[in-house]
Amino acid sequence: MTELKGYAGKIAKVDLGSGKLTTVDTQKYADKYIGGRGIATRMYFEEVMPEVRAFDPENSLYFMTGPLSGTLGTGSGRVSLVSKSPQSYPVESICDSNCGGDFGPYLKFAGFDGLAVTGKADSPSYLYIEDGNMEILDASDLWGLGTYETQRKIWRKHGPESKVYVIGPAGEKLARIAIIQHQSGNAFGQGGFGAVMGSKNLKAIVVKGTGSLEVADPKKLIDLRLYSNELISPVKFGETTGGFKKKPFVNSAGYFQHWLDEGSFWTGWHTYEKEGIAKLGNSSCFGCPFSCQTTMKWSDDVKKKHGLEDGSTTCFEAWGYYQQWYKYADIDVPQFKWNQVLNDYGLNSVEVTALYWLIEKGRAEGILTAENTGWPIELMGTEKYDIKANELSNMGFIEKHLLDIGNRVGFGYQVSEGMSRLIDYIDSEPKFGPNRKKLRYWYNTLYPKAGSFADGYRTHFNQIHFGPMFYATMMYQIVAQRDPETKHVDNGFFNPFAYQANIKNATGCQPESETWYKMVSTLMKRYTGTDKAATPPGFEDAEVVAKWFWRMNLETDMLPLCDWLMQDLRAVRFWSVWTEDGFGDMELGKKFYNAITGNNLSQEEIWEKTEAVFTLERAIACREGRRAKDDVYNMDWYDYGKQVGCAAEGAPGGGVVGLNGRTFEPDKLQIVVEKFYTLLGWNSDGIPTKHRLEELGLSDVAEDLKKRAVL
Amino acid sequence: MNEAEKPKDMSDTKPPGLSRRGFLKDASVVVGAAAAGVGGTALWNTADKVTQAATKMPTSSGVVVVDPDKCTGCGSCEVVCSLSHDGVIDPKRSRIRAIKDWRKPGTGIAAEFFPAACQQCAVPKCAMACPPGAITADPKTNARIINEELCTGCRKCIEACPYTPPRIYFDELTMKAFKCDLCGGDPMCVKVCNSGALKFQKENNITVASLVKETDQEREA
Repeated sequence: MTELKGYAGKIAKVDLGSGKLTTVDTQKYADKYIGGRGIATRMYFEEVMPEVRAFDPENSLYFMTGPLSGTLGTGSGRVSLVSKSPQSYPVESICDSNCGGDFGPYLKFAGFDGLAVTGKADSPSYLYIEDGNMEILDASDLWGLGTYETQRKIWRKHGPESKVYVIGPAGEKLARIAIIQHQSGNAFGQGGFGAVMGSKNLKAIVVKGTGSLEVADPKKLIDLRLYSNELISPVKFGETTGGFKKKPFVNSAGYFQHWLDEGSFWTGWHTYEKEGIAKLGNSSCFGCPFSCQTTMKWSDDVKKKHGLEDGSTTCFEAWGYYQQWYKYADIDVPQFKWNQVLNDYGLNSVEVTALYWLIEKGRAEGILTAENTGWPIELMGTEKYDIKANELSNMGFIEKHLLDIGNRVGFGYQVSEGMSRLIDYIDSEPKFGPNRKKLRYWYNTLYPKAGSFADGYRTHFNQIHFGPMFYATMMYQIVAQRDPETKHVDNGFFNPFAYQANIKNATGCQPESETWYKMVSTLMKRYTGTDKAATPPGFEDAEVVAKWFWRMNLETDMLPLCDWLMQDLRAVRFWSVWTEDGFGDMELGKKFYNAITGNNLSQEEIWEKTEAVFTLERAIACREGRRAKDDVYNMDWYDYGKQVGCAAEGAPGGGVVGLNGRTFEPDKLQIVVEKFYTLLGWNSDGIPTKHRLEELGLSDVAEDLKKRAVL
Repeated sequence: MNEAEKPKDMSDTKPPGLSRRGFLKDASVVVGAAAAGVGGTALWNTADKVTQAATKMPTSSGVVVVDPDKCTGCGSCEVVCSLSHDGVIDPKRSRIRAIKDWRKPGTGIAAEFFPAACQQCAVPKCAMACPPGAITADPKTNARIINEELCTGCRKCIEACPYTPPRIYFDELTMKAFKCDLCGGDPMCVKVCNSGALKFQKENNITVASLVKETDQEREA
């Protein structure tokens, strides 16, 4: 194998305990594991043993870019992070997280494809990387500061071109829902990896790079990028499909380009501009033509009165609080205060949002009160609560509860352990009253959780859908190492429907249209070779489609590309007027990869590599104790669907019927799970077989599993 | 012109560091530069001629105009510029810079984005300041281009640029100045920019007088 281009060449290894700084040649991993989540997972396998706990010094953080990082690859600013997660529940286990921004490309310009951090520093420290050099520096003056102030201090000291990963007080204090923040609009959200950094006394990682990257075919790379720009250009709804005449949602790229349009979902934001409250702008990750982030620049008056700071925000962070308390009411200024405090303390907004659901239900049943939470929860989310008057003054509900969670004080301590552990706590504490055990059930009704190892991750948003491939998406939810959010199941043709449904109705349920069905089945047939999973009853061939999802997801995280943007580029162009048949380009990632590395792989060959990585992930999970019994589906979730009229009783085997007549039957799901295991070469207990591991070139993994009596 | 209206004080932005670039397409140019240096003394004396030539330089056939409000700071323009000119990805080799300033007082941590592109001045101060007269109009587009063989690396063009930061950059490896050449009339940065922050305007109606005035005002402020 000749040397692949597009890589910086080395992976930096840092031992914070001994202060030892070494490097590994990236080419050692490049061919087989490509980059990103692939290389990170492989290094995790080699170095993080199953007996290591998340907060042990022996746990390592693997920040990894890929060959596409820092190039013109669409959305190539993203970085994967793999480590043993404190957020996984009930067992701390392998998890991956992903963050956009500028850090990854500049890490490569500094000469490193990735960063493996292990050990524990004696005192608060930060890692400083500049053009091939690494230093562990004293962070005692940064410890205890919020993520915003820490970054500002670093920019003042090292210059504004420094790219920074940073943790807030929540990470320092080992909150299991602590994030790693980057700038104001990016973070490693899920995984609780901010706390892993905290456990290592590592406040921040700073990188400055002025080097260059070689690519195999510059001209081809430029052409591919111009072609991708065409692919995501917004198109007019309904021009080719004959249906969906309404503006403005096209695909999610179009969706965000309409973000700032008058009359869009986020109309409140336009009011800001009109009223002079804020100026809106767009910002994006390195090299991205898409710009999903909106920058809010507040007026001096707002800054002074409400303590708001300018910053960027994306979808969830911009409405999480309002979604839960105010039921999708138009976004208002307090929402941004919520987002700012969360970012500054370094807390996971997705996880914290689930708290409001628990409070709402727990309050009604007398489980949660002002006394046992210490927070003024009585009026929250009611009409009697003047949110502006209360939240924009000092220490309204938002500040009070988030500071307690970030500082791990009182009830906030339990919340900072994550929702699953919080429910365990409430369950076990008599002070929450006789009804306290109901809370677990309610939580389960709201979130379609993955298998029990990934129980610590609530989903991005709750989709009660009976779409044309819901058995397939469930498969991903059941066996994944974390939550089934956008990142995982939406890859491919799922996404447009999720968006459309979600916008139409807070619960995401709606009758199925003929157009919808037709598009999904056509696309499914084209890409996976079968459309049976799209046709009721829908469980046939669902495992084939599930495998396709998984390959796509891994490919995106390994190259890397943005999984949000790529789903549009790959598939959703059936909305588009740009091509004859309206399909996207499923092989775009491969084309970028070949142009950049000089390799000449077919799509199938890339998928072989992605399959090796997700089989490796599974093998690691098995090594850490995961088995078929943990791959369970949360049926309580459908009860919420029943409550809001999206689903009804009456399907065979205790299943449910959706608005569109599709059914969900638990025993059919079990059949799909078994077929899925077989298709992937796993045994009936969900463990990859020796034979399959060897086929994928992972014979050392098979040996390891054998040595540990897993196989 | 947004560009003319809002020149920014980025003077404390760190200049590009020393190049670690492995790729050196024009290694021969270094030799050429040394040769040109021999005749340098004679060229100094032609300053008046240079000024005269610069004043009469034909207007460029177009200009990259920028709208900072639309810039998302993605830096694709920098990548494509270095990639198409030098064959490598190297933002510090870019002739256009997507500047992100995080330190403007009172801005929280939202960056101010600013694409800094050469405005191909009608009466180019860079060309007027160049002792050997190395900056001339491109025969095809009339873009103000630097003849690398004549460039002595004195940096006077960079000092003379009326913009802040200057739109001419210095390559520490070749010891030469480099700048935007409009890619032969179809600028790659404009093609790759998806946000609308960069546009190629066929008529270049920016005048040095207006620029100097704006810059002075900015300085006073």
